[in-house]
Amino acid sequence: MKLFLAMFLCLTLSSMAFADVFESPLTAERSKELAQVLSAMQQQKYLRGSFRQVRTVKKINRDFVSTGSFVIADTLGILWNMEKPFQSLTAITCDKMLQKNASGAVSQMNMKDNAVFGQVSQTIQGIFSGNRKMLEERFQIFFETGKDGLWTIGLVPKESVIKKQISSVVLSGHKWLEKVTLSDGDGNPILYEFSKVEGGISLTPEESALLR
Amino acid sequence: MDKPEKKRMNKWGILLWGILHVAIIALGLNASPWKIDSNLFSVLPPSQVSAGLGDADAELSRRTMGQMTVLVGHSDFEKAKAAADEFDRALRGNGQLEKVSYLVSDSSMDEARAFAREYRYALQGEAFMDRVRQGGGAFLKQNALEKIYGGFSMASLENLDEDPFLLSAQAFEDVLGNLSFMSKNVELRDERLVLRDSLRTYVMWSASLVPGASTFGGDGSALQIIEQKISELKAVDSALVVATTGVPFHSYESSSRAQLEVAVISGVSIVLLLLLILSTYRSAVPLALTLFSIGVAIVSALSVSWTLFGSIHIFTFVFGTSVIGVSIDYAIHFFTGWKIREERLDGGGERGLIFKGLVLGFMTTELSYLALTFAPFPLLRQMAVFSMAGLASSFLTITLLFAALPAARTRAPAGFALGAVSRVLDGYGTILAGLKTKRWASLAVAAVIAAGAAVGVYRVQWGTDLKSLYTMSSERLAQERLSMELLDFGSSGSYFLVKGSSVQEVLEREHAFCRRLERERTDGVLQNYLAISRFVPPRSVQQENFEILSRAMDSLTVAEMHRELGLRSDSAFRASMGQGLKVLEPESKLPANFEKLLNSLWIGRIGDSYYSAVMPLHVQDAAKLSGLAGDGIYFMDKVNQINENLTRLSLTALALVGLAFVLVFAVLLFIYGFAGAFSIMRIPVCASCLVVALFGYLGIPFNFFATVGIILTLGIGIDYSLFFKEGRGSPLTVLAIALSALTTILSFGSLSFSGFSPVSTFGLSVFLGILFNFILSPFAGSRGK
Repeated sequence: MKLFLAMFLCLTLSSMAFADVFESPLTAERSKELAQVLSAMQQQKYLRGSFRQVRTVKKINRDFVSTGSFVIADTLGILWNMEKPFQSLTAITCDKMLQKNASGAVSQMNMKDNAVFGQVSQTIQGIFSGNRKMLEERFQIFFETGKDGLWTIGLVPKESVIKKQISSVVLSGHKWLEKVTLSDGDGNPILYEFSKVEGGISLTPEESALLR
Repeated sequence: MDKPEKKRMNKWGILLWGILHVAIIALGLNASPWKIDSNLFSVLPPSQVSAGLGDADAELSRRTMGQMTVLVGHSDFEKAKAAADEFDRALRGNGQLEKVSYLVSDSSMDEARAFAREYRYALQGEAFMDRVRQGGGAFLKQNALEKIYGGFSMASLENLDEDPFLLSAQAFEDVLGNLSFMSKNVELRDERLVLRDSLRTYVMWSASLVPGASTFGGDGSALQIIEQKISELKAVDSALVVATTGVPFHSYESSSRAQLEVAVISGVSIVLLLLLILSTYRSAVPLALTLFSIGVAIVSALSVSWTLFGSIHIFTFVFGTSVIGVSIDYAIHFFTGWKIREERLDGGGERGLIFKGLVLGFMTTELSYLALTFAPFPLLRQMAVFSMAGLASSFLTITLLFAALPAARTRAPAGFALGAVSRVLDGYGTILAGLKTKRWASLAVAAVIAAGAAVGVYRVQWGTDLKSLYTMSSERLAQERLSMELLDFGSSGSYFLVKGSSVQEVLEREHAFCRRLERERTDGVLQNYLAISRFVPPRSVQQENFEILSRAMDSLTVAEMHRELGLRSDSAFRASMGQGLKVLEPESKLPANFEKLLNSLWIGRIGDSYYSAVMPLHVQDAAKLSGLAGDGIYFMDKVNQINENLTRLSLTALALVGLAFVLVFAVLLFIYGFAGAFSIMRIPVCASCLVVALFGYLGIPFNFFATVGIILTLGIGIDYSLFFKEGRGSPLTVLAIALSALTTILSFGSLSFSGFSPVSTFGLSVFLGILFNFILSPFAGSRGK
């Protein structure tokens, strides 16, 4: 029961936080601050760290939690190395989405063969790497900063078709991106929490090969 | 014949003329609305494949021919969007347009998802099913968990209880994957489809013309509104770039150009003809009556053509200007005698003098046109009927109506013209006398001319290349290039038709053929292809997939998956499985976005068979495509097939005219004997050979349209020889022939200036043919009875 209450409180608070940022549309004055935040996000060519992903399905009242490590390579793409509950690697680049499971089986989707998925993956890449041009083009942007230096960016897709896949996104962090909450088209949140984030460490040859 | 009887005969003649023409014009009025076909594709002959395939091909063309895309571009997206919005507002609701596609509705994604969910067992891709075959339930489970736990998976988890293995999401990926390669460059922005190049963002608008909608310029058609709106938008913002693409735009442009050409060519021809007639006859009466004769001939030609064909192609109009040149000949022959002859005969008397030549000329020309009506090419048939009707009307006007004219009050002072003609005739006489006395010289001249002609004929490039016949304006070409670069659909113009005795046989054949195409894709022959069986697999495949999936989702696997997902009950899943396979058919209700594409792929029932089309995209090795055809799979390379058809048609038409000439020769043989008939027939035949030779020397390909010109040369040219022979080379006859030739040369010569390669080639061929016929015609009177 205590656990349930804690979860309920957590969800309520996080939804309140979302509500807050979506009440703060990006103003001209705030635009400079946002630029600073995004430029800090993009300062490092490579960012790597650990993630915890929580995918909540409200209908069955269930969280699907996965953990692992990630690499965000500025112009190349994202490597998402899930370790638990099972091993799985996802590489997103500008022209493909590659998945490799624990048994080594690889499946690849080429963006040129699938414009809709291409657009979704570009959007995800843009969100995680703080690509301002892309964000401004595709989202209505909301922005606020807290007292302790915590910044929060709210994003609502301009395209109603994309809204059917991603209804809203909230990014927050201090120096670098720490948390992303993405609500899918059904209104189910996917929470990404990042820890041990560090920049500057270049890609290994294997990582480079995956993102090529 | 005494005077009262002559008067009575004239009255009967006028009455007959009146009844015939009133009847013809009444038929024409009855044929309203008078449709004008400006479709560029109608110019082409039908494909020569089997009837069923030809019909399927025609049905596919009919569906795709009306499609058009407009790209509104600007360096500032907001400006491009505003202009595209305004454009859409101007066209929305236009009754001549259907399937207008502009704003992308969010419901399209819901529709696609619901469709994938409904047919999730039927829609699984082949690669996925191969992995299910190998991995069974374990693979299905792992695949679903990857979608649930994996990074950035957008698979909807809303229906986990009913679809725990996320087969709906898998089908959604496969279906969308198959759909979106229509153009890989299209993006979504502000609910609009956009394309980009380095300079601008283009907002896409597309629609189809409703079947039967006009592409004719200047009649308030949807295309005219489109062109007007684009001009208005560009006038407001000069930085706006608009590219349009689609067959209707080509038809619209060519019909607009044709309209202008009809006006200019007809105008110039008529003015020159008027000057020629006025200066020769020095009287308004022959001029007015000649114009009357031409006017009636054209109205009759239109009436008959509309009655027989329902609509007239715009090219028949362009060609129809040549009727002026042909029908005026009879009037000239009549009026030259009526106005210039010293005896000043009345109309009946004049008709009597020229009647035999007139009838023979009329018969031979009509026979040539008649031969063309047997050609398996609707446009050619229409042109022939148009000309036959015009010529017949003109013949009747001269022989029935003008025959009732009294003698001319005054004689035209034609001394200069007759003197010039006499001098030319004297020249010919000297040559003929020389040739008769010096046989070796005549043989040598003939040998030199024949050798020269043979070299020219040898140099001729035979055959028809469709690509060289149609030249776009630079503006249209630029728009097509830009559209092609932006959209990059990769369509090669060639495709495959799949035929079967049932819907399922077509899908089965296509499915097997797609496997072959997949191998060719791997080998780099093509990058992709569109086929309905990728969206609607054959029923047997759907059934097999369902059985494989049912086996893989055994109770143990389902129980494990439910446990993994924390689902309390499997009742929703069991209920869904209990409904069995929902079979997807080509006629099933599909999401609106898919229907447009599938409409171009599924042809359906034609006669007793069913057909579909497979479109290869981004073909790298076109030569290999034809070899992929097989049982029930037909390779359709329209351009090459049409080129072959046109070449075959040229030979058929020539053979038909050859046959007509044999008939004409038989008639002339009866009238003039062998030598006389031969001397008449050799002139148009030699003139035609010289035209072919000259085309060879000029390096102009001798194509289908040049052949049609030669056929007319044979038909019209023989008249000069006949008149010459009938008039026994009198200066009056030669003057009439000279005037006839000049008027015909003017009409066809003006056609050779047409911007349409088929029309200009045709015009040049006839122009040269008539010229040679005229120059050679005095040789027709040298022998015979």
